[in-house]
Amino acid sequence: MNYDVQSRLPAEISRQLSDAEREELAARLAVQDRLAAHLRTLPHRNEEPSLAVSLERER
Amino acid sequence: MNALLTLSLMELSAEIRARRVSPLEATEACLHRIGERDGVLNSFITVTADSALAEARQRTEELAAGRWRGPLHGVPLALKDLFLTAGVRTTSGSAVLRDWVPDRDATVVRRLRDAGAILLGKLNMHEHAFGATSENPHFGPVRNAHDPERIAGGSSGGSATAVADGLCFGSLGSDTGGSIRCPASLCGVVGLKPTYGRISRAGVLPLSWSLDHVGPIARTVADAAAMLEAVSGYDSADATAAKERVPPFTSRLDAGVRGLRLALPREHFWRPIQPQVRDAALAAIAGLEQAGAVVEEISLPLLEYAPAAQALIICSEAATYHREQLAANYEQYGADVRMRLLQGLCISARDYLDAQRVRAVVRREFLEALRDYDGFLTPTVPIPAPKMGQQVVEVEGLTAPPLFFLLRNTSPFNLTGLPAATVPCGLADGLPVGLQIAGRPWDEATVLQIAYAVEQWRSARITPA
Repeated sequence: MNYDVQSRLPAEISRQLSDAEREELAARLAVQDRLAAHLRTLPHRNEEPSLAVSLERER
Repeated sequence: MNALLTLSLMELSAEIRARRVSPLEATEACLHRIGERDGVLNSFITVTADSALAEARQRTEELAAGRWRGPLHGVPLALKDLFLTAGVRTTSGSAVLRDWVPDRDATVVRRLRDAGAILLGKLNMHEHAFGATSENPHFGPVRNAHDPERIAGGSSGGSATAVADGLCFGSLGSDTGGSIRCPASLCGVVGLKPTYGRISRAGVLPLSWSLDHVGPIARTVADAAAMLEAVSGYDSADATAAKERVPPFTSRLDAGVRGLRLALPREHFWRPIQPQVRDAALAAIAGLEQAGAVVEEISLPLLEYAPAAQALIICSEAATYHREQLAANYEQYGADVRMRLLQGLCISARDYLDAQRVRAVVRREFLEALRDYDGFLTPTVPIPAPKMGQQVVEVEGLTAPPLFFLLRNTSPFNLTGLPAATVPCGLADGLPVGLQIAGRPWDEATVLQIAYAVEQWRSARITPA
């Protein structure tokens, strides 16, 4: 995983981060990327429509 | 406290209709109470005393002329400060919008005005609705009416504590992960998040468009039902507002729960939980069984994926909405909200779409369970209100920041778009506990019917000392 915060943020925002924020964000991204990886362990997710489609169908 | 302020919205409404109390008297009583108590609670950002008194005089004159608009006629209410109000500043609890004055009302504000409600002002909240403590760095922290050393919950913290302490007879909040139900539960009042699409969000500042809902906070279930009735329905200005029929939510509240089949999901909601919260929720559930409901444990194994999907969706959508403002006004965002937005900016489109797909799978599992059951029962928040500034909470051996617990039980119903209410059901450490009831899409009527049965079982309102 890449926790180079700089490369994942828009430049106009990245340059405003303090060092402390950069460090905290990197730690949080490690957790967030684990959450995203966890979602990819759910089987059959590719068979599903988006929620918006589901709601529209029910109306 | 003025005895008038101990009435529920519906009780006040009956007094007004019978012309035993005037809208002007009720409004003056609320404004006096705000002056007396809001120095402590900090629930209002803006009090619109002059326009409220003018509206109250008009509603009083209408009654004298024989015109009664309905249950909200002359009833003083207040709005979370993210509903656009023409000519009145709308801050979203932020420094960026500190002086922003919209030129139009949100659809729901217009509907409340048309229903005859008096609007007392704009309520304090977690900045941009992106948090659950309402410890606002720009307008000061909202305090819990039951113990001012504790948080009111959030993000609609002002909306809940003002209702609990008699500063208004009801309020509107918004709920993206539990922002109506969490503070309502911690402050001992009723909160309802309806089905996604039931209430227009036109003119409501967004946090996360696929998760945001608008709903009422009130002292009783009947009060919440009356407010829901007034603001629900199709709105061409909101692409997500449904053309679903709006039933009379107040008419079958007392139908009872005999024969209703209610599910207790065994995963997620009951652990970790503070033991007194668990006991209070279980006692209320036993009360529903005594009243004739059939309660059964069920399994929802895909719930395990709900928190991750919710977190990725809310952060992505919020960051997309705020990106330009954050770049232009970086230092004006509070530290906690800014960090969550930065996280959101780092989520890839692929991960966001995966979260939306997982969301559909979780929703399907919930809907399948609701083929056999009329609703779900869970504790609303697994802990009582934490202290202001508290960094971590320890429950059943798990130590985590308050946010981990505050929205844990409510957010699955934002992810699935199902209607969910909280109703006070007891006390833990002397602080209010709520029971959450969720139901089938568009079936707020049954959710409210079950909540009403809990209210009847408990009989006494949970009021601040």
